Amino acid sequence: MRHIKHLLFALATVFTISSCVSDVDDVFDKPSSQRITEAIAADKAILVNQPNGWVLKIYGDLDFGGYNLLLKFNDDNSLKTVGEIYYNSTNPASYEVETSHYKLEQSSGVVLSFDEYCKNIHFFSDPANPAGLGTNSKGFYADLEFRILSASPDSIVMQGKKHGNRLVMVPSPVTEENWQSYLDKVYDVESDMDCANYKINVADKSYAAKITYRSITVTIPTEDGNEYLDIPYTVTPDGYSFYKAITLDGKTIKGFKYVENAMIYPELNNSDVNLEAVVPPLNQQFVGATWYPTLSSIGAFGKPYWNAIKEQIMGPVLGETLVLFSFGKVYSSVMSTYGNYFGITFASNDGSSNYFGGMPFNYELTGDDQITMSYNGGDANVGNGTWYINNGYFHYLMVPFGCDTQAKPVERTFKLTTDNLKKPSMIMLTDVDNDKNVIQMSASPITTPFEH
Amino acid sequence: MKFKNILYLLMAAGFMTACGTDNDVDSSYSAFDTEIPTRSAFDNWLLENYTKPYNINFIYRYNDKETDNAYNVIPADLEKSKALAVMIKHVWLDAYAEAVGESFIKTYSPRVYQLIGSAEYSSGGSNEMVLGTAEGGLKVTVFRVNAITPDNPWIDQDSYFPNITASNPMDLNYWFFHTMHHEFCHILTQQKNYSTEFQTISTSDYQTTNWVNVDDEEAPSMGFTSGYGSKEYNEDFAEIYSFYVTHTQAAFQKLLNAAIVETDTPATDANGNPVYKKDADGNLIPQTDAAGNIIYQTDANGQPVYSKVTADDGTVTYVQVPAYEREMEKDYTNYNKLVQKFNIVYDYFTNSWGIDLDTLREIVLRRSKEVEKGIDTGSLTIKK
Repeated sequence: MRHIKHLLFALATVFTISSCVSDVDDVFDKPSSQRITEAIAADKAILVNQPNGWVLKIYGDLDFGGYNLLLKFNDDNSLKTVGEIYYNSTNPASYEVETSHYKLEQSSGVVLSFDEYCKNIHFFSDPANPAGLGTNSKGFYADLEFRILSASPDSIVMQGKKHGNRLVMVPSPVTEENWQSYLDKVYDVESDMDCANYKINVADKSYAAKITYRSITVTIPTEDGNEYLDIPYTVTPDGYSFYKAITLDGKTIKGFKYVENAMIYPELNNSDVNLEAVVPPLNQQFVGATWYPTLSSIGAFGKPYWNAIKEQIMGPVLGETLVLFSFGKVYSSVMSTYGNYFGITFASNDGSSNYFGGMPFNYELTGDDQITMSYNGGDANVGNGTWYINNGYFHYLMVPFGCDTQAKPVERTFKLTTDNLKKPSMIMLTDVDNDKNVIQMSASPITTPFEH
Repeated sequence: MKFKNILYLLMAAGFMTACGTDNDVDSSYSAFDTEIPTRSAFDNWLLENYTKPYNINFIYRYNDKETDNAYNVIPADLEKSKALAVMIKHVWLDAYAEAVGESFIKTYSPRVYQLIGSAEYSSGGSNEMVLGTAEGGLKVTVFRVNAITPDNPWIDQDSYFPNITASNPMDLNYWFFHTMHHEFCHILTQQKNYSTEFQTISTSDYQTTNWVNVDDEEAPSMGFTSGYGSKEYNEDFAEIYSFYVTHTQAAFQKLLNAAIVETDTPATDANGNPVYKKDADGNLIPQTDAAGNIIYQTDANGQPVYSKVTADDGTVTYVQVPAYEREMEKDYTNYNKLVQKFNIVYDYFTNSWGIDLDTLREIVLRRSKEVEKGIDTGSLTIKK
């Protein structure tokens, strides 16, 4: 008992001695509430005082990559936005400028919250994504509230409050009036760089790559099979900019620079690293797509035959109009009926309905840009093909491609050329044995080929 | 002993006086924001119509602290929030004020209303959506605000299950009004308990989490007003209440009829004779096979049965007699359960709250019809 008392006294003494320290230096010079109020005011000033507004590259589920949002923050907490998703480059009138609301508040630091619905922004955080991305409950899986980690007039680094993605906002390089041109450029860059397959070349090595949404998947062969590296990125007017730098063969890769009409896009800093579009040979592209010749695009050899059908048959004999003539892969809307074949698909209209038919061709590819082809002969014709040969002399239309005036197959060999190997808008066939037999065909559909 | 006491005193004094000599408090700065917020016209309208009369905080902008962190949701559209604010006041707050009195709704109304643009989707992939929540009688959260059409609201009081189609995507009665009454019912039953007898009626039929697999259309045949009602007895209670006050008597009757289940046993009358179905004109209905051909009666030997027909001119013909559709025995088990549960709900509101559900329903239906003309979000009024 005595010992306990002594212990108590000793404890009491210790407390009494240690409890009073004359003065502790404050870690912070101001109370916390005052500091956060000032931090909010400072961040708001940075947001508002950016005359061109800001570009936010927004990411959610990294499988989808990132998208550009242009934001102008006003002092009254209103917000003006445009974004890629609801921007339609072919119809700029539908360009969606939205006015909405934002707030800055204290919640684990300064938090920027887009707290009023604005489809440009909330497309990315809607649990039921309007474009069907992701599963319901997640959608694109981006945040709508962001902790501001650092803010300066040059960049604002933020972290999604719920899902934690680190996002960067930089000042818009163009004035508010020209936001549209920024998005136009993004659209053009993406369409021009778009390709079915790529390679990433690092010094003397090269890796197969493919793009899904805005994520590059690189195949890296290892001893135990393939490994895959996913690189989410955003398209900017300058090319592809990665969510974060990756390392491949010891090289740090941050993005690829856009070069107009090129096949090779260099890395931002490494001259021996690049992204290369891998394009199939032209003759393979030719047989894999549908092409549209017109009367005016048929050369001197074929034109008289086409003219004969236009002038003497369509109106006078059939009382119909030719509304479709395609060559190559079967015209897509009749593929389910006729099956997949290579050759002609046509449609003739009698004023009330379209009569479809087709004449398959045989072909053989030589090298990268040559094709030898001929009419199949008749037994393989589909739909009203044979009827229009018997009643409308449609084999005359086939003469330049590989047929004679008796509807008998003739083998012709063509050399192919195009305007853009990566994405041909047209293809030109030149008969190697007859330089008058030239056929130019468009990649986009042309109705009423006799009128063009 | 005294010495010890003095020591203790000293110690106590030491503790008390030791600290707190700082005097440099900045009194010019307050941690509380005393500035009057800038209010839009809508904010002022809310102040006059929700906050001042009912002490309700109507939150239409996203506020992280008020949302459930387990879900991903988005803010409500401003224009749609305005429309819904006008509608909720008209068909909900004012309906209770009219039916029961202002003090009732002032006392029991949830204090916080929150609007959310999207639904809360559960992440299990079942596509289960949360339509509304009520937290301890304090807060009601309404979801899917962005799907409404303020100009042309669609309010269906006549179908006993939601008739959602591509052209009628958003039945306000089902998504909002029904939900609001449902949540309010929870608040009231949290204040005053209802008879525990209610729990015993459908005890074995509750589906718990499996309720998502119960279609609203088939729920009556299991003794419930909706799929959600089959979850557990509290939801069942609230669903019966909210269904009743937001639907016409005809719809309620349709619901009850749907609870009567036809069995496979053919029905007989008091004398043991078969009972046949009749069409609208009172004629018997011939049975047909899958191809639509009439099935004919056969006798005990499998031979066709003929009937003699004498025409006006005396000509006699024999025609084969079709087999007619028979009435089946009906199972009223779930119909009875539904009626029994409804009676408890009805009595609870009469006895515990002095609310006559029929009067309330009449007011709710009338007011719902009134907002069908659409909302002018500029003037925050119902269109004329």
